[in-house]
Amino acid sequence: MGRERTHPHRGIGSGGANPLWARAPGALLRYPGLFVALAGGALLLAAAAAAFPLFLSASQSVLLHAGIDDRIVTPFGAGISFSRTNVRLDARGPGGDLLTEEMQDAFDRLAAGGVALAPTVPYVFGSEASVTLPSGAEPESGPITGRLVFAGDALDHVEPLAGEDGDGVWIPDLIADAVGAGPGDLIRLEHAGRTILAPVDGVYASLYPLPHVGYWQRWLRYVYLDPGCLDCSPPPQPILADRDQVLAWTSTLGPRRADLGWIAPLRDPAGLTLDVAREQARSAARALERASDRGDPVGAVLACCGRELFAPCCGDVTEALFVSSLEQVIGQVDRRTSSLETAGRLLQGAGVLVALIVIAAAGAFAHAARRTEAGLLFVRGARWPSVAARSSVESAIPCAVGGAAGLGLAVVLVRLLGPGGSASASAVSTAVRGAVVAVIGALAFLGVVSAVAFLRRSEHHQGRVRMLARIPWELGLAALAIYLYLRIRETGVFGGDRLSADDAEPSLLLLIFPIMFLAGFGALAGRLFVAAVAWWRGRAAQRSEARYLAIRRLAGAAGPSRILIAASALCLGIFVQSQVMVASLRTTVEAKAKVYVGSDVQGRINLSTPLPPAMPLPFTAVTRMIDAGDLPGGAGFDLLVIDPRTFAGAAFWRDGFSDRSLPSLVDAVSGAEPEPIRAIVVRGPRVRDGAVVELQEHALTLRVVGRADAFPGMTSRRPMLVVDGDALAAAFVDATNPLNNTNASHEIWVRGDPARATAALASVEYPPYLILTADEVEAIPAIATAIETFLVLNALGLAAALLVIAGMVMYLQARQRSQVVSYGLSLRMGMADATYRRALTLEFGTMLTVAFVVGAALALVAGILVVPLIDPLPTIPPGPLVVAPVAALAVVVAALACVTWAGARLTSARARRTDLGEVMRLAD
Amino acid sequence: MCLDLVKTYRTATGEVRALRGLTAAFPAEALSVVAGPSGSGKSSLLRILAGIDRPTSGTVSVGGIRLDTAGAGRLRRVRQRVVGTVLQRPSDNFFPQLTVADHLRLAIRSGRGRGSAVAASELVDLLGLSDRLGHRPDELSGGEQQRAAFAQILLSGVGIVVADEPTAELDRDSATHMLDAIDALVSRGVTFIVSSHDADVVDRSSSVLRLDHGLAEGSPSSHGTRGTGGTAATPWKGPGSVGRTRATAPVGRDARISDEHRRPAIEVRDVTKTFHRGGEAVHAVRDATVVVGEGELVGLVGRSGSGKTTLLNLMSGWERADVGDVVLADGRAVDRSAPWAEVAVLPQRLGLIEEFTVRENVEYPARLAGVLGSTEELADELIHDLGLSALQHRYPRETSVGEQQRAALARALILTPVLLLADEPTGHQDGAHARDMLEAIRRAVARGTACVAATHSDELIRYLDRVVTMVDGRLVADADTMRA
Repeated sequence: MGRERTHPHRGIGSGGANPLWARAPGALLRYPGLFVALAGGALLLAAAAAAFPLFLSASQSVLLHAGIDDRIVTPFGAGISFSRTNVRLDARGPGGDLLTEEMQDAFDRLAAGGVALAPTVPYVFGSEASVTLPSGAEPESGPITGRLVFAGDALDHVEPLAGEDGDGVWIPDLIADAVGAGPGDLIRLEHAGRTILAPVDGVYASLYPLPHVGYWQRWLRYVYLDPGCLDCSPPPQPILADRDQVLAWTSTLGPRRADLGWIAPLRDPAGLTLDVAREQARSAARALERASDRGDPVGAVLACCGRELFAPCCGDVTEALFVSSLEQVIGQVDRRTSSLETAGRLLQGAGVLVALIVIAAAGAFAHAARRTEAGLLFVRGARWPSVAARSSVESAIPCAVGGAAGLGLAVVLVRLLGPGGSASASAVSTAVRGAVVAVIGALAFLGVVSAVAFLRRSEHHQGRVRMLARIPWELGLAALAIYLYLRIRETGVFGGDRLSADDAEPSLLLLIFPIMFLAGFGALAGRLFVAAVAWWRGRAAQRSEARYLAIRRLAGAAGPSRILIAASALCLGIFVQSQVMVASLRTTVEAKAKVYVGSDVQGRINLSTPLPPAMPLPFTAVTRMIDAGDLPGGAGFDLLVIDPRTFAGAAFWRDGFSDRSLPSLVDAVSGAEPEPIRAIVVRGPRVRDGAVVELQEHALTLRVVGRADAFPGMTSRRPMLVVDGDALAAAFVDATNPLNNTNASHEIWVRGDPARATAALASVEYPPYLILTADEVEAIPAIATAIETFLVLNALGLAAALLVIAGMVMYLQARQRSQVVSYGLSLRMGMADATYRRALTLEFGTMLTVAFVVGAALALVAGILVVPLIDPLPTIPPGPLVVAPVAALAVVVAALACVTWAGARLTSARARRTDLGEVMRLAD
Repeated sequence: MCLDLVKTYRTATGEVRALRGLTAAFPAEALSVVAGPSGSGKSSLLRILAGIDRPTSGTVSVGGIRLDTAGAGRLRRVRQRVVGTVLQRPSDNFFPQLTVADHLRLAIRSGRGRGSAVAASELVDLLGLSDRLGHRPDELSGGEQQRAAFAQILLSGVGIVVADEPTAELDRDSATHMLDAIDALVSRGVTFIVSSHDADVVDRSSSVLRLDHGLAEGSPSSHGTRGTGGTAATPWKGPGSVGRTRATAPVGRDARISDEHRRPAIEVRDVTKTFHRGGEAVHAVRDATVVVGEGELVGLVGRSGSGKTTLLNLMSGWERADVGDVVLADGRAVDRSAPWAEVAVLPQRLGLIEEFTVRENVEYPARLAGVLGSTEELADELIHDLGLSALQHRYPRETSVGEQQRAALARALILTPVLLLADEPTGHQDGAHARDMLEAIRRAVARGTACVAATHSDELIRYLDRVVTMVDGRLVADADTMRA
């Protein structure tokens, strides 16, 4: 062939860098598939390493914000505040200026040391004065007092009703209504015989009956009703004026003393992270130290803290107080997140493990794809450390790209799917560090994988590997899984009886068991599958070309098929098992909560409370009586008295509660005949027709019309009898109403959206004195933690499954690349492209189907084994319910079908695109 | 030196005994050839000598180092410092991202301190690589790759070079060039141990070890039926004594169709094909015209890179001509959809399906054509004639390259195609098996198959009806060997 030489002659020499090393960083740019595979592995690893600190920090932020938002904390309580009562307004401070001014300066200096504090809000609570019109006439409703108050930006924290800002005062409507004053009027304030006239600028809604707000939180007893004394009069409501006026009028009216306070609230609490909060808490502690140190200029002014005699005469008792609730809030957050951490660390570990498996697979894939180079290095006598190190250098760019993408993915995932809080700087730094360590770890791991793969070229090592491969190591995993299961049964799922505690956390075994179970039995299934395919290869009917090819492709690549099936089964199984756990836990908790409440919402009323004639949602009235009497044999029972006309439409029901439907049971129990009284027996011993039970010293003969294992309204595992209210009334027509009893709870059950139902109950003419929703009962922290943990595991399983499936597609593509000549020849021989595509579909589909069936079956078995051990509310029936996530399974099946179709098409399309002429020519 | 060397491989379909107690010695500073049929254990022996594999039993020492008892580290040092290996496929000797100069630089670095038998610049000139130093391996022809591979080994300073069929994929000129270089290096103290079927290589060697079924031919327990050559103790020497007692005149020669009655099976008319490789335009085929008739066996000869494979690709329809036509007997332009019964191919990259056994590979065209039942007898015959009976249920990876090549030929002939295109069909065969293959081809030709075979093999040329020579993409000679 004639060549037009375009390359210049280049000399050679031994100088310069080693060419293999010099070109190593860019070596993988020639292999886009490998580049993507390695980057994908690094991405997963970095995401697993980085996501947890971000997630934890975001959770901490959410809990922190919730703690700060608590009405007894608020940003005002979580900041720093200093107050001093009974301060003489003409007193001089250590600096010689007015004490009030020096205290203001001193507090400002303390607040300046804070890291997350907003500008100081000063408060002055001055004289209390009786309020009249200028005429001095006492209001018709009797004397009324108010208190001169200055509070920074106070008008932003009250509800103005009329008026506008000016030089006068704002009075509460309590005073305005009493004295008949409004904006533009003058009011007369009198204290100890001294009076002033103050123009009214506006009227605001009195604070005392309103919900507490953070701004006034520090001054609860000055503003709000004492919750312990509902019959007490409200405290004198603030008459709001500016600071100088309050000080001046207080001096005029006397006693020339005021309660002073300053609050530096938290700045931007919604954006506050735990790191900043901790720093702020530390600065608050330092501020307290300074305020308490009389040797410090600040402490000398504030004279913090405690009660002291400010002056040697009576009535000069003064109290100084420095407060910050942030430390307590942080403590609560720490306690709550400690339960998240263990599970989170385990999940992080699981994520890292999955990522390492993906990286190992990518590394092995890379090694296989470049086996010629590896073979060359081997025959040239390369040392394995050198191969490992060079492999790491070659992988640096894809791993760095993947690591950066993984960090980004972690941030995005936590933002999109996380608890919604912002991550702290230290968490971000930990996440970045984690991603960097992950990339370095990935590179080191890839080096190890390369070294192992390289050493396998040696017959000596191959023999060892073959020997290891023959060992059914999956049996070990399966045995470990069984041992873990027995341990769970022995030790419990939530570490004994701490379930209801805030810091109760699910046992790690709960997470490790299904992973080991799926890994062990999934790998075993993979081994059995390849054995079955080998058997099938020799015996299957040979009519279909696609099947003929697919079976041989599966049998011919037994090792990869086994690994891919085991890995896919593990990942899909983790996904399905998590779904089983989440669905089962949610369903169980929901069922228990609704059984306890009876329906979605329950309102408790008195026996005499008239029932609402109608409501926008289905409702029914019931009475339940705890420990109402004894069954034959002596077992105590609860009683549920229902209205059969409305009960079935409003009560909660699950088919598993009885072999009959609720309407059928209710129909059966309906009837006013008192003797025998029709009854449904729930969870009771075999009570026969005609059995007599005692209720309120009154014998009732039962006609058992139905049985159930659980029934709405149950609050314990005691047996329960369900009877028609009319029949019971008839039975007791000559006796005292048994329902007029302290053990009896009279309730309205409403079925429907909890918010609507609650609103409906609250708006009836005679509202219930207590409203309870099923959602409130469901809110068990330990269960929420368990569900969250499994949701994360679920996401992890899904992500890993996606990666494994992507790996499968890449594996098919890599095989296609290595078989391009045989493919081209096969087409020549008459193999239709569609046949090849069908064969690929069969091959890929079989692997995925087997993996899915094995994974899903094992996951269901694991769920069936574990779910009964998790009883979130053991005293309330029903027992734990195992729920198969049918919808999720259907979605997975559909997704796998799509992936199979797409994978086969992608691979066959790649095969079609191959330039066979070039392939043949380059082989020349 | 090897003593009672046994090598057994365990495969999915059972054990393969590659060496069965071989005893042999190879002189230093000389060219030694290991010959023998495909599957006779040549590659296994070379891998053991190169320190890549260990024997199952027996002793082997190279340069005074016992390899059978050496640990992994010692073997590695042997591979690095004592024995250099040139892999069978030329392209396997390179890292794709490095240029030739990089590879040579790398070799010099690894050999630093030991010194090479020849200076780098001298070696580059000796091997004709001076203008290819800046090129990457995929920009080189097979011959250039092979020479560059030798250059690397020699610059790494090893004293012993092991090479598996170093001239199998080279044209005659390239092979001669290579052998001249080897001669020069031997005279400078380098020891070469090569496996080869090439008579020229054997001619130049100091000793020849002929293997058959894992033993030196002529040993008492040898299962060989064909060889009468020397044993290891008395090395057989020279091409004249190649031990074949079978295969005399080529089959089908008498049944040759006369030119005037021969209908064209394929016509190549004024075809030109240019492609780009790296930064250069390669005029692979220029103005080529050739007609191959039914029942005609045409040889396509020329140096590596002269355009033979491209011309075969054009004839097979895998490449489309930039200019000119390639048409079949009925006037249709050939394309890649031409069925196997019309155009069968035996490419250099054999393309056996890895997941099929040898027999399944052979039968696959018949299966796809729906004539499996009717071709069973022919499949049996081809498998038998090509010496594959014992291997038919093995996977290709469990057979030698030569055996795979024979399986690929059986596959190509299973439907008795109108046209057979074969690229170096006997490149990996010893003389006996090469003749088996040629006779199989000849029988197909006798049944009317037209065959075009790109080759360097003198053996094959003897069987040809006609030789077409390619030089730099042009057909420069078209001679009827029979007439000649």
